[in-house]
Amino acid sequence: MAFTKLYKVIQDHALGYQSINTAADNDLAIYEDFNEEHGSGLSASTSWFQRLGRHNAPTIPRAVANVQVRTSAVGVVVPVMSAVSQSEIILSVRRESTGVYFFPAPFEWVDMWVEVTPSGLNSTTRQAHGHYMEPTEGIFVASPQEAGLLVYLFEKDGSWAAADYDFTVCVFGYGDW
Amino acid sequence: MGFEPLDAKARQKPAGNVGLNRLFSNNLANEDLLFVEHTLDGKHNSLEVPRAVGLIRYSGSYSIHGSSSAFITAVSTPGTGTVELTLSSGKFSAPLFCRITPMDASGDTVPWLAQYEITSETTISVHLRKLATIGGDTWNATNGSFAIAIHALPYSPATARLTQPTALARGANLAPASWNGLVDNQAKLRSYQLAEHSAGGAHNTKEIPIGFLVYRFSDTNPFIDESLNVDDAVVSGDGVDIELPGSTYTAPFPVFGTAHYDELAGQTAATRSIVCIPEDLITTTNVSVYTYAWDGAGWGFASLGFSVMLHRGT
Repeated sequence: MAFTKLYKVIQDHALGYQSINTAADNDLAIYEDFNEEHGSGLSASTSWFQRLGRHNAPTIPRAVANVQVRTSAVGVVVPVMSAVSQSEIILSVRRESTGVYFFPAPFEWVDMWVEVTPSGLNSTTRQAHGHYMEPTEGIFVASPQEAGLLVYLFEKDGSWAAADYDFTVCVFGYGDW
Repeated sequence: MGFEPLDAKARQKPAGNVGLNRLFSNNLANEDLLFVEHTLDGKHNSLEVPRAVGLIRYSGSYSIHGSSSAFITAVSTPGTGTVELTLSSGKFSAPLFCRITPMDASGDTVPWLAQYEITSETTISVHLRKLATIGGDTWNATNGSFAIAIHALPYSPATARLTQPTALARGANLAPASWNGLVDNQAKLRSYQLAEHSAGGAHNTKEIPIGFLVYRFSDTNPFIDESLNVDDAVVSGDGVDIELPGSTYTAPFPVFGTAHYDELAGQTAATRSIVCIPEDLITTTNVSVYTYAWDGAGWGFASLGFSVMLHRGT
């Protein structure tokens, strides 16, 4: 539905039904156009991406997060999300082992892919990638039914080895989110 | 308050205070809709939408494509294989973080790696490594092209809102100021909407891709799983050529890619994969994608799925 600019009126100007209809059409045009790639739902029971104004398009990340990996005074390596989008997709992160990080999925993700970008100084050579772990893969012995995003981090120091460092993770998804 | 369409009025059928109030409330509903994840003037304002997206192109010297000079103002090379980007002051709030895809201009011969370093809210360094020979594992710092998306904390949400006309009571007359306020607000909302969206509602800004492709290998047979503004994708030599509708894109443009790790045969925790997209092979009708994997002794070409995001060009 096209948007049509309306005229203003002055005192004693008769406002015809056609102007009223055009105003109604204009509201509808704005609403429908925005709904093309944004949500409009008012209920909290709808998915995050179908809620009022939220972006809902495969071209826009469903979630992004920046993870900073810090070592405590007693030598415990702790991942901290310095920034994470309000998507209800990425809610937490935990370190499984050196260079292996896991983001539990609050629901089953479908039709998606993951980008991972390492950060690092010029003195290092790093490679990282991500992977959605299906509930049936059972990689973790302690909780074999868990599903979520696995990130693997590597660093070349003579040879390649798993390593802990800061990284960015980005989830894209198409279909019905 | 939700949006409720208004029935069309016929000649001599009065709109009434209920009908006119519906117009006012629908304007308010549209305003509520527009200001989620957008600034007061309609620009995108959420963590997941990059503040800036650029193709940093190397051809003897560096040039910036795909992002406004209002965001990335300069590029320098303090050392071979290191690129320093100067960001516009006040445009980026820490913590900043990046997504990077190597887009080297030397063709399809070897993979590249890229990583980033945030120095401040106005300085980012990108470090590039190029594999010496296919099948090997020697990486050298080398100048090259890359696509970069810079994410930053959203701006503070807008507090000033439009002044909507006061609802009419039964029997009240519609004052010119109320109608004119409605007309003004509609025009403003439409202009905010069109700031970074097309008239049909599609996103229309360099920071958001205009096309994408999800390409998968199943039992070595490649197929397009999902795509937007892509005509076809065919295996060509060691890579995959993505055929584009020429009228949609303006070369050069940034492309972000990632390999589908789960399609690597015999994947283990030690499996690694890389995707590279040479920018010198990009035209308005073609993008070539090369995927590589670690075979235990070195890096070689690998047939595996990938996804790419195609942005608007300069």
